[in-house]
Amino acid sequence: MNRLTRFQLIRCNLSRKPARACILAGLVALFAFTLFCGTIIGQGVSAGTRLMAERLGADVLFVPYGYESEVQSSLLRGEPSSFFMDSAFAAELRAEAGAEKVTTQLFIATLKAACCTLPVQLIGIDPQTDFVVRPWLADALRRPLAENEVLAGSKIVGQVGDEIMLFGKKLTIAARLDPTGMGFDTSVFMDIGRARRLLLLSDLAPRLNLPEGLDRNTFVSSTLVKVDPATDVRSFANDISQRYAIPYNLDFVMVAGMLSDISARLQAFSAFFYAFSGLLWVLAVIVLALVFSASVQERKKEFGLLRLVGASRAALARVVMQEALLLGAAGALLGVAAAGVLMALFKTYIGVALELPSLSPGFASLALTGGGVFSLGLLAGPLASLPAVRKLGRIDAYLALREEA
Amino acid sequence: MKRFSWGAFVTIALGALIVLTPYGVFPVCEAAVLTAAGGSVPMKCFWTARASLGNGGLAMAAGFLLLFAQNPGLRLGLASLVLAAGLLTVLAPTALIGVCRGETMPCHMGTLPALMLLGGLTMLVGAAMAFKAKKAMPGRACRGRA
Repeated sequence: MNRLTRFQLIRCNLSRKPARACILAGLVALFAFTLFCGTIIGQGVSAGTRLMAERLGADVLFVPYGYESEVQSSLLRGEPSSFFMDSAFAAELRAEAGAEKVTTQLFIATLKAACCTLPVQLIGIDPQTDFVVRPWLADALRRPLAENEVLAGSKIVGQVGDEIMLFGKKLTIAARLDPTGMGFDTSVFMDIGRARRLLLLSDLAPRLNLPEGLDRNTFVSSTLVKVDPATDVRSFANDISQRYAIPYNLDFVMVAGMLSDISARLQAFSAFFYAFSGLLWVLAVIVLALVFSASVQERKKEFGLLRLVGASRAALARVVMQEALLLGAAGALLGVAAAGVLMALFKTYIGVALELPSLSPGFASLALTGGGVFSLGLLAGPLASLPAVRKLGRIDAYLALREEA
Repeated sequence: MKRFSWGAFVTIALGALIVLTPYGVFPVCEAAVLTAAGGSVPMKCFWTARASLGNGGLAMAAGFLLLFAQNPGLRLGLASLVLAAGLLTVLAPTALIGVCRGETMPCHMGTLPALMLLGGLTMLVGAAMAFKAKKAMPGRACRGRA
């Protein structure tokens, strides 16, 4: 004769009401899915912002008046844009006390690249003074860029040595940048003088509306400054702005301010996700508790019969708890797996949609987060079964059988 | 008695999504590649979208037939067809045709993962229905009649 095991009892009960089992597991899965997605996105943005703060180098960006949002969009999201200012400002800035490093960049939005038909942000850098782009280079490039060479962001198609077509010219990729999580990933970098010449010779030049009186041989888009550690960045920026804003028609963007804006948005985003996940977890525990209590009430006769044939109260409590544990585990596993697959498949799409610097977390971080979320989901089941177990303890086998008869 | 088939309905829905994804949900790139001669040719993703029309249509047709098919052998065949349609949906943007290389191109970051997901789900549903149909088949059904 086959013995009825606890596992068989649990399986029979779950398969008797598959819809109920699916809904309960689905509720836990929804919680696990939300928490996992929220945590991974939050970690990605946090890592992207941290890396940007560590390696960007510049403290203040001076740009033409009215283009503060354009430079931020270009820097954070790689949205191509073109704007111009006089390079004489950079020369004056170098002489200012408190300016430790000064470099200039030229931003040009191309119409199309040969690899694809989306515009690319071309950034001209000054190799003599650059301290912003070089730290991101994946491979050391110990020589200056040749006339036909470019540096490619990590998401630009092509390997070192490959050719890309810009402004109708074939250019060779001399080196690639590490993933930055920001707009540099989709940008192409070249010598600022070469970029200026390419621009002026291209079909794009007449459409750019270069300001009147701008020296066609030296114009730039932005001036980036690393401020001396002993100098207060805000005071420096305000002081420079007061003296040079009108003659050069410029404004400034403070990198710390930009990063703190991102941090504030990240905090709001994380708070929402954690609050929503917490609410889902509580909801899952409450619904599971109600369903298990109702289930114990419904199965009084069955439990009474099992008590009469020798099952102890503890054994019956274990049946209810393990049933809840199984549902919690299935739901948590499903939620984490679904979230993991979706996040892995749509990581680029999510990064672009977020419009924030974002880097994909590593495997260890993913595994740790997945494990934590799974444990919380797993915990929901046994926790929710406690009221049902208490109720089970109060069942009198004889009375239960008589009631139902 | 005729049994309600959830799998058939899910297959039809997945097939419809496979058809709609490259044209509406996650559209492929619209522009064409300009050739040196001045002409224009569609990009890879254009053809992947065309293939998805066929693959999604195939899954929908198989799902529709599964609504009425009662014979376990026939159901097994149709479920295998669903599985094959799912596999082709995954293979079209990854191995058979492909999508544009740029990571941030709409077809690469949207259409490709969406088709992989939908194709994978279609394969799962097809496999589950095939398993169920195989279980429902009489023991000697495959041995032929004496």
